[in-house]
Amino acid sequence: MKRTVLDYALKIRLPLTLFVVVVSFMLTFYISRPERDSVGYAPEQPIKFSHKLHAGQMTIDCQYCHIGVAKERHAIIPSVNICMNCHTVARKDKPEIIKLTRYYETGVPIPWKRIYKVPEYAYFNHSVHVNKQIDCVSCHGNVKEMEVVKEVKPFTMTACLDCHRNPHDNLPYLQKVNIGPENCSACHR
Amino acid sequence: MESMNRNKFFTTLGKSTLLLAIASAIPFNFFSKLSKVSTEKKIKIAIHPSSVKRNNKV
Amino acid sequence: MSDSLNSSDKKELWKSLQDYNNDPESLKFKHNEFLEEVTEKFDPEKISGISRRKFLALLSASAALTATACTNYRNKGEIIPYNNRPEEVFPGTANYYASTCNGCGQACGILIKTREGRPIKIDGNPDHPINQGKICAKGQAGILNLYDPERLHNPLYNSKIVSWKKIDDEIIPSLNETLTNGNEIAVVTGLITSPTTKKVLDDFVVKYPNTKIYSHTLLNDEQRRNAWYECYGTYDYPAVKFDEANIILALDADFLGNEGNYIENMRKYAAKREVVGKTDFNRLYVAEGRMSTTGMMADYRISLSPTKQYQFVMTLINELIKNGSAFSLDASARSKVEKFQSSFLNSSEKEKISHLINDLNANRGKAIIYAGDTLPKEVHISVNLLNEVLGNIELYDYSSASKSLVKQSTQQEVSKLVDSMKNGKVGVVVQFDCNPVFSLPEDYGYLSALKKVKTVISLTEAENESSAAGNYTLPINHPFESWGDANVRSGVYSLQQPVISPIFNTRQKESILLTWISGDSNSYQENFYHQYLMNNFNATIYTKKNPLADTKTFWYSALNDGVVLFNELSQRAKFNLNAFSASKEISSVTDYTVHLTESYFIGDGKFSNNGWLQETPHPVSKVTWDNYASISPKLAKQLSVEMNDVVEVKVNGKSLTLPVLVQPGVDHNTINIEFGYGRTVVGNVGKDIGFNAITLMSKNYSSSPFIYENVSIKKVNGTHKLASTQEHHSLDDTFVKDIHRTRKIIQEGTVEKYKKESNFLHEGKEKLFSITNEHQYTGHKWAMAIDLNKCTSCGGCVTACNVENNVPVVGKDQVLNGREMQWMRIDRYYSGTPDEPIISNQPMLCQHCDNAPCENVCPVNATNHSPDGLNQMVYNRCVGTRYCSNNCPYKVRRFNFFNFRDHFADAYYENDLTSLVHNPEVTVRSRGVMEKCTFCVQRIMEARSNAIRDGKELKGTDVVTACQQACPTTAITFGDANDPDSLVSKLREHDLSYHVLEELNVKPNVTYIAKLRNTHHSQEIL
Repeated sequence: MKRTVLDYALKIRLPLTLFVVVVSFMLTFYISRPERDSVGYAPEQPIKFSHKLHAGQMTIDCQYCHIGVAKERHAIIPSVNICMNCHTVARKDKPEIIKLTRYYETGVPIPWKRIYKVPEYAYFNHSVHVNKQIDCVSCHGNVKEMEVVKEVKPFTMTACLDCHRNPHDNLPYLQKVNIGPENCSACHR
Repeated sequence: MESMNRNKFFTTLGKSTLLLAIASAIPFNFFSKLSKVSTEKKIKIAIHPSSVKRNNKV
Repeated sequence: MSDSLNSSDKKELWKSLQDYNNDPESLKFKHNEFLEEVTEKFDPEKISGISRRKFLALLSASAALTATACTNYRNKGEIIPYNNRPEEVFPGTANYYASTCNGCGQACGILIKTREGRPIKIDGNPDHPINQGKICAKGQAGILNLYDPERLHNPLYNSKIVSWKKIDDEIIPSLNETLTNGNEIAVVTGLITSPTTKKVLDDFVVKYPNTKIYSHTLLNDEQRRNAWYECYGTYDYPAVKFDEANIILALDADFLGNEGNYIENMRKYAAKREVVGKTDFNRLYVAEGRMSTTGMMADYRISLSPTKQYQFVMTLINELIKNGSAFSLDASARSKVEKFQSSFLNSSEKEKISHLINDLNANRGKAIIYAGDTLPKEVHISVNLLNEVLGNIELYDYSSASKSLVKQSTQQEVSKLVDSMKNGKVGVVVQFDCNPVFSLPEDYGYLSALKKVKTVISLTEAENESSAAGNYTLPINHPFESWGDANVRSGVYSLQQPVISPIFNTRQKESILLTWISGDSNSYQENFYHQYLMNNFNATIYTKKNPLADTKTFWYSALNDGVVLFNELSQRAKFNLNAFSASKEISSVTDYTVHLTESYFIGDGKFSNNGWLQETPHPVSKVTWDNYASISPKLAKQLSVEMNDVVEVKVNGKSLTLPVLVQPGVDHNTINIEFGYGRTVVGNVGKDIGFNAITLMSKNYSSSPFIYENVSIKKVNGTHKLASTQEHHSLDDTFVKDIHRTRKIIQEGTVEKYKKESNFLHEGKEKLFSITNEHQYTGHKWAMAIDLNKCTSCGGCVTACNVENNVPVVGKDQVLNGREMQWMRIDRYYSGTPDEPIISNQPMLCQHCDNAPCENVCPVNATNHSPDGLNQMVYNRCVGTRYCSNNCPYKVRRFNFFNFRDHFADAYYENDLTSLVHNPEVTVRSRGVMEKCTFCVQRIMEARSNAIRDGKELKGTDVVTACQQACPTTAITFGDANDPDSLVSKLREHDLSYHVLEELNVKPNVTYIAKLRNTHHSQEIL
């Protein structure tokens, strides 16, 4: 029996098109998973640093360690010598502090597990946000209560744009806040 | 007979596509790196200890 | 199964007694394969629902999915901070260090921008009084030499790696040996600009008294210095106040392109080319045999062979003393001058020459005649006299004289050295950061003599022809890893400091000498020269300046600023007329002449291995990756050659085969070749690129080492494709001839016309209308204005953009395909006739059109418009359709056809070192994406972030784009068009402003200011 055009369309083209569409959707869905689905990601760090103790109980300011956050693009994970400011004497017999001191003395930098990551092709600028009085907890969650740092929000572009487009609802503690930039080169340059 | 030719043509096409796809995934780059004599040690960048930076930005 | 019920058949095999007896039961078994009930009781539904096929499919799918799920998809890698953060490094913020550039002998002050300890960009030091914050293309792109993987890593002895201690232990005895057996130690250096290096050399001579220092550099101004010495008794000549000159006559002098401190010259020249405010233009006359950047800027250009310059100057003196002279000439001088009757005044250029003479007469004391470095000493003496006659010596700036620290060795001295080497009278030769095997003319016989010397030590950054001919090759620090100082101009002492620790096992070249001076190989320390420099600084500069602070504070403040300034006014000397009377007369020739000049971007061969500089198009011919013989169209027709044809140029028996470039406007008998190319011992980038013009040079030259007569030129077989970034048929093809005029891409006028009617450019312009509503830009609107009066096509903006934006090097083959990746280009247009062309330059970059035709054709919306007027490009969205580039009327979009960073042409970029030069704020693009100028959006964002941090409003002047920062004449202005006080909005409304291809109504945001030629007429000479 001869194959008609409808046959070809239905039996070959349609499944093929559907297949391509489904696979490309799944591929992008899968690739964006780290940003989308990693809410709750709380990996074990090389040293059991507790923000709840340092930032919460001892009320050390975020900017004592994360020095770049109001000055430049990056927030800067503190280098070991900042820890040693106190821990050359404070609790230096505890096992975690001994681990820390060994890192410092051998000159090996601490390989912290990264939790908050914006992809490299988006150039995120911390100081612009912090200098507009946006609090750290709006994106990073209540870090003062975290023993182990956990990701609380998805870091997809949608999440960023939601806040940029509607800052009043997402940042209720600010009286005056402008709409954030929506144009591409604000981040993608 | 025609269908045999057609068949052969498409199987050849398909096989060569498959071969190319696999060949493009082989890491030739990696193998050539292994064969290269790696006499270079890792490049260390260090700021010169006696350099004096300008206090004010341009 | 044999159905034999016949018991008479003997059974062969039987299984049981029933079978043997042919029991009917057993027969039934033989018929039926299965027992009864087996098939009846068979219920397919009761079997498991999965078939074998389905099971296998499910197994493989779940295996694949499990494999993918096994990766922790949430794993984002690690973030690793410093262990002990150096105090001055703030990751993410750049640091600036003041230093001095070593690209040529002018020692401009630079600021090195570093990120996390790596230098990534060079800019001029605004505190340096000579270059005032600007640096040339060589200085900009020279940073790639630091990250050249083909630099020397270790000291070598006969190409084998040895340790420094072993080298010192062998060399010091060799040096001492020459003391005992009376041989000479020859130290050959390049141009010494550092007083402290000179002191080290002097100390070396004290320790080893049989040392002789020879200084040879290919690009020298010895002709000018020797002439100045004969005329005024000193080798230091003053700077010229081009910014106060009404008339400038440049004789084969590319003072705007490549001679002296051309950054300073360009700035001074442009000071009298301002269109904002009053137009008090200067007038530039150029008489030259080749086409240089200065020639392109000329208001009146006379094609004159360099051998005729002497005649020309003498004719001018003769004509001008008729109207009086500020300097009295004696009888012998007069009689010498009067021989040169005005043959020039009746030539084809007579109108221009009569204008010149009238102008020089009318502007006595406010004009300057400037001769080029390559012209013979006698021409310089005559020019000095001419300036004296006209009283132009008022324009000599004696507060800033160009000093010569170590005099160049004369031809006799070098010949004597070679003879001594041949006779075995030289024990050790030290080649101190120079390349004499390449730069000395072959007829010295230096290379063969060198082979007879027992110990040849070369101190060099990278392997070159001279180090390949020696036995010890000692790697030295790159200038960014070195200490140093410079004093090339009186009153200016600049310091050089290292910003990065030596990457490889290299040493500071002066420290190597200091170790040998001390005589003990163990005395070497890392900061050997640092200490020496500080001591010398305290002894000389500190005591001279006598500040209130102590030595350490003063030293640190000097390093911070980069310069220490003094008042050093030289004496104005009286002109020695005997020098003029005694000078040799140069007769002109009517045959062919070869004129050898310095390459714009390669220097004397130093930058051969620098891909950015090789790929920066030549300012006039737009040729990359090659040099050529530049000849006039008439000569080309005589030889019947076209571009890409190969000719053989023979000078006094030496010959060079190279391709030809037909250059409109050059003198018919002059063949201009640039040297610096054709190096053989160099890295992969520069190997066998170009043709070595030094083979035509001779130690016995008649007038100047750069001008040769007795030349024959003929066509030979073969072609050599020259990779030019612009087409070359603009004057022949009648269809495209003058298309830049008819399409109003280049709009020009004259000063006279502008004075009469200032609105001449906008007359009769139709108003364009849009069919859509125009977008209103509140807030900032970024725009740029380029003043074509000031642009000399120096290429500084192009290289600055390359460095700032990580633009890749693509290589000659791709440039031949038109795939060069530079975001900014300088277009060069000819109008007029091939013999007297008018040349117009126009920097072209993304115009950031308001109605951009590229934006609405992108199928994935990767390019769109920002609310502050920028045309954005999102690399991760681009799929490489290239429709946007198709639509762009200016063709400023560049496509990454290959992954130039990786796996491309020997993978030059794919090493640990070269990738360190990248600017971390700009994406490094991969294959398949479109890129273009972004108006330095990273700088705009950084300025915006700093303004928010400091609580200020962002002003347009806070943002400086890379091209704007680099332009030495400040031709490029960038700022906020919505700010009525900004310079850029004033320029947008200027009478001379226009947009390129305005009629397309794309509304570009780059405004061009039309070039005004300062001729005597209202109409342009076309």
